[in-house]
Amino acid sequence: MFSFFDKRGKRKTQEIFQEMFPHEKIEEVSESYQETLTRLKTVFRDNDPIEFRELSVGGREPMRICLIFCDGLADASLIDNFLIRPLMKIDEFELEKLTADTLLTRVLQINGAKKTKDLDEIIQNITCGDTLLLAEGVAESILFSTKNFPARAVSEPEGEKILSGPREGFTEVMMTNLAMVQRKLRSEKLKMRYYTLGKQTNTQLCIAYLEGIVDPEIVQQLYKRLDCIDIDGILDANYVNELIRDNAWSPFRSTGYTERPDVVAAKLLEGRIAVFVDGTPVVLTLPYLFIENFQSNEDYYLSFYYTTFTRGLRILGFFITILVPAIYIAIVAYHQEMLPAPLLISIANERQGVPLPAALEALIMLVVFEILRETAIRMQTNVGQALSIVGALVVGQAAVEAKLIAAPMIIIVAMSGITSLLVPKMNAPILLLRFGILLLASCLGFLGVTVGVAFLLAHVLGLKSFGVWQLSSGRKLHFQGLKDTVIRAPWRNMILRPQQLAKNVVRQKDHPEGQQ
Amino acid sequence: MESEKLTPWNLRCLLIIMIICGSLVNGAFTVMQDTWISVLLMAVIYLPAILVYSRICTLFPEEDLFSIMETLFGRLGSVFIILPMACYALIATALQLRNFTEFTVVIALKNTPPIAIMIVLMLTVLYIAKQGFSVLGRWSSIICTVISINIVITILFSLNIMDPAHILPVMNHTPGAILSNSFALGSIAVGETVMMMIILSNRKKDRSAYRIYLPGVILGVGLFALIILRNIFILGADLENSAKFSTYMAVRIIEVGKFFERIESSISFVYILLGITKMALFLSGAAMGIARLLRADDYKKLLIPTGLLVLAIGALVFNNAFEMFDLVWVYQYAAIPFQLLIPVVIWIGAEIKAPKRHPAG
Amino acid sequence: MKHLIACALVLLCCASLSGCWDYRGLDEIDIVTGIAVDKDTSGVYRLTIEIVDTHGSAKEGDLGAKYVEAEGETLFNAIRNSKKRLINKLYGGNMQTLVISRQIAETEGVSVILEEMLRDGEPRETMSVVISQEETAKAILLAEGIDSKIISYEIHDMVEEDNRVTAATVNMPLYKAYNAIKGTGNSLTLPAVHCVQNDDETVVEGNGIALFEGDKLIGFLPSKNSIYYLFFKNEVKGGVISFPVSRSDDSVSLEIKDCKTNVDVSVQDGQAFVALSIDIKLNVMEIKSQLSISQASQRKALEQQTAEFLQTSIAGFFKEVQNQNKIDIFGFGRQLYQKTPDLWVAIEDDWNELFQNADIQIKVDAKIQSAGVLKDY
Repeated sequence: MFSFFDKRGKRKTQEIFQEMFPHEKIEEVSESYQETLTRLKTVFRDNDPIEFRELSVGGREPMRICLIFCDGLADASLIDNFLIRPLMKIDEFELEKLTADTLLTRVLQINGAKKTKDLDEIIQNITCGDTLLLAEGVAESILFSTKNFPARAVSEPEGEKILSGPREGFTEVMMTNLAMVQRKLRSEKLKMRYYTLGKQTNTQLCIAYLEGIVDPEIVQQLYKRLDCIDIDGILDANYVNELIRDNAWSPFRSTGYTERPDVVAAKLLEGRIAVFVDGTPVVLTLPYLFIENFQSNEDYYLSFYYTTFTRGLRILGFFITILVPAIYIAIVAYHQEMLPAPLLISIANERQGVPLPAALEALIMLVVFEILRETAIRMQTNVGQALSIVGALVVGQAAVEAKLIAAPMIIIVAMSGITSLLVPKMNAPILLLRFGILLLASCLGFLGVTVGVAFLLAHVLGLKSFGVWQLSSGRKLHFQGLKDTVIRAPWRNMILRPQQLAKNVVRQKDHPEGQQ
Repeated sequence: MESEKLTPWNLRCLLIIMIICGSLVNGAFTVMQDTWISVLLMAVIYLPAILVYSRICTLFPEEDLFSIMETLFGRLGSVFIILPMACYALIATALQLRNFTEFTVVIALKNTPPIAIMIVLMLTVLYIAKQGFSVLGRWSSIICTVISINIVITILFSLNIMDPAHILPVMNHTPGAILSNSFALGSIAVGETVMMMIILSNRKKDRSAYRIYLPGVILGVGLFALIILRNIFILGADLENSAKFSTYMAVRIIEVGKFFERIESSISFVYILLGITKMALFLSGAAMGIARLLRADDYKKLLIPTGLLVLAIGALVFNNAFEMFDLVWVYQYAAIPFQLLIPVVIWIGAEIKAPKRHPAG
Repeated sequence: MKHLIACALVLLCCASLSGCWDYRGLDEIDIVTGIAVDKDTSGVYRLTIEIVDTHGSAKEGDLGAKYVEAEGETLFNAIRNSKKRLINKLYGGNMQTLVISRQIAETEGVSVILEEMLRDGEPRETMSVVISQEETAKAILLAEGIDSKIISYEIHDMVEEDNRVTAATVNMPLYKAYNAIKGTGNSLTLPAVHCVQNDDETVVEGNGIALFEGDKLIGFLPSKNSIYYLFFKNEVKGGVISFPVSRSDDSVSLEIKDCKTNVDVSVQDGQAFVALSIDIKLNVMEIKSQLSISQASQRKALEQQTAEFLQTSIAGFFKEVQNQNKIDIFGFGRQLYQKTPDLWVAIEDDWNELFQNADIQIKVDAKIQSAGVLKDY
């Protein structure tokens, strides 16, 4: 089923690699204070932010202690107040023998601490803000959790604005993100497991799911795919997305993404898995059904009549945005008989004197629209006004008046462009499809449109996300299965979870239908 | 997790599509206003064949047509029936390709060389076939819904221009003429469901093949008759008979309001999807047969060469449009060995051998 | 990756080599709205093709029409010859009207022309076919339109409306006309048009029905008789009935709101019978008499009079057709064929004689429904 992954033979190359360069055994720090210190100093050579704070504590027989931390990542006041201060007053504790345990249990006033000998772990932790304590005569070294790095405040995500409902959004710090979700799902069933990815970045991932609802096979599948990843760095969730997706070349998404904790909680409750990636506010949810492209979290917060309607609009918008330019060309250049006579005459009249053929005109206008859109995203906010004026005036009015472009084309392009904004989760496929079907239509008229739609349908039907068909029509159509697709049924009636995903599909047990 | 197996509805939809595909084959109608009777009769005439197909699939629920042949007649013996069957699938695909190319030429692209249309259609067919049977099954249930909606809408919109008197006088042809037309139509529409045997092994377990075949064929024939009746009601028997593709001409006449009055192009192109579906199944069948002959384990790798072969045959089959009409009359006899004789041979073989393999029956 | 590039190249080749054979830009076509077919004495077809003049400015109102004339030995030849005078291709998908001259219809019949139009595939099956009562068919196309500058569209809409509102003509689109020629026992009728003066302009007016035997024109029904013809075809959807009541200078006008007719044709012992029953609903529109329709008894009387009037006029009309036209213009034969195909085969050859001697029985059920917005007057 997942032959794609076997084919790439990731696993195999990794094994070969390991045979060629046998992995060194876990490197342990030596018991000697001096030796360890020199070892660490060589490791962190030419790395100025790493501070080696050497102390000499104890009155009668002073003992050398070294605190190693990364300046800026570690909390200086924490180190000052709860590490250095008690260490300086070590005599007051009247210890009989100084060991790592006595230090931890009696002297140091800090909660996150861990004894370790693993050099790799030590290095990783120091680079993310922890503090290492080395003491002369103590065999083990201790890591203190003193992380305190700059983070953005929790704010509403720019890309997923809503009218009503929770407004908090994820930040770049994974721990905060996990906390936000945990706060919404106060259940011991919520499982969150860490996973480290990226040979250079050592990025932390967290895989979250609700035990008892999630399909364990999918979780296993996810781990299998994560194990196959062999990459040096993960900077955003999309790295993971592209590395674990089912159909590598498909433009359609095979994992969902969101920056909102409420969305993640809802997806977890439907039996999905969430993948948090440290360093990005984007959280992946999987498996991903095709209908999720048209869903929005707000659908569940507003009246179901309204949201059923808007969901219908989004689906309609998808078809309009990919098909309208193509259908226009097919009609105007191949099937004029489809137009009623007055409309045909008026379009023909508009087209008199326009130098370009309609197909080329459509292509150019769509590219111009994409250029305007792309510049609008990338440019500084203070030139936005100027751009929209240029776009509207130059492209719209002036081009029509100069007879460079026929007026109906402006309407078509505007319609196609605006509707594409209705389904932001599908911007990549929309772009491809719109131009692809347009090209087909310019060569073959409606046959091209039909063939294009047939390809699209066959492609989408073949899409899978973690073994789940993204677009499923196989089962007999029954109402429960439709309740959260084209329509959004009221919560009272959404008794079952999406059946493709969850193992335990009953959402409302007390309901008679739920008991079946 | 979902299984890769197909639900009975998927398969029934595929059957329906295969059958109503026949309504687009031109030149098959000879009994004017009584065509709808011969359409209904073809279900009766071909009932024994359908029962044979179902029985074979019941005896070997998990094997496709070609592997059944091999189990029954051995490696060497089966060659003699796999080869003709694969050739039949190949040629039938080519005929359909040609027919739908002609359809496309008539409805829109009059100046486009047929080979270009053939290539485009074949590419689509190849892609669907390559996506595999589970996609084909779900695809067909969507297409079937679209087609049914399409038929209902055209009927609703044409209510005001329909004239039921067009089917009078009923039974003005000899029963012999009606039956022979029935037989000819059936060889195109119902008989070709023999190819369903390659996909029926993908059905969900414990789903009876009878329960898939019979409702599918009955619904399909019903829709077929509905299409024919609609065309006769709108056009009248004479025009229906002289039009090359009467379905297309019938929807041309439909006017929906003043603005959307002309919907024929958009509606008739939906019918091309029917042909694409049927061709995808036949092409898969041909590729599977060839794969079994060549001992190749993955038939999907053979789809592209098979598709090219079909293109070559399709481009060579007819010299002009008239030959296609003539072919319908040859086809009904040429198809007998594949639609009737070979299945019966398999069936007899299966009845003898199957109980030994499946003690439970 | 190599595969991908290969695929992309193949697709690119397909796209670029395919060359868009059927692509025709809107600026490369001339939209044909109507064709008038004439034939001169030397046997050459003369076509007048009306095309839309798309060069004007649409904002200033309707776009006008231009005319292309062409000649040829055959119809198709003539259409092709017109291309010699044009840059653009002629496009017939939005053609609405075909005007056939009286001479062609009388001498060689219309079936060749209709079949050519159907075979071509581009012109619509629903377009109107009309017979010109003028000297040439061209004269009709060159007339002025009142509502639209494109006369073909005006004729098409006029025929449809006339049939619906005034019952003055038949609505016989191309495909029905073809069926009427081909169908056993059917007879073709087409709308007839002529030119009249209206406010100093020559405009087109529907003028009754052209009658055919097979596909040859044999005569016209004046438009006042059209409604009686339509009663037999169950195609009366509107129209006006006016007749004198009691005294000769008194009269009423009734508007037909709804009408259902049922014709039953039968042949027994070499005698044809036609039973026509009409179920008609009317509104009173104009009364020039002493009738007080607010009284039930007077209403009853008016209904009675209407029925009688219709009965006598239809019977008179039927006799007239029997005596003058001498052929079955109503397509009764079709009905016989549909009902009793075996009988029809036996009498088919003598049908016209049977028709001339056919007996008719007319039953009218007239109901007056309202008198407009006035209760009485």
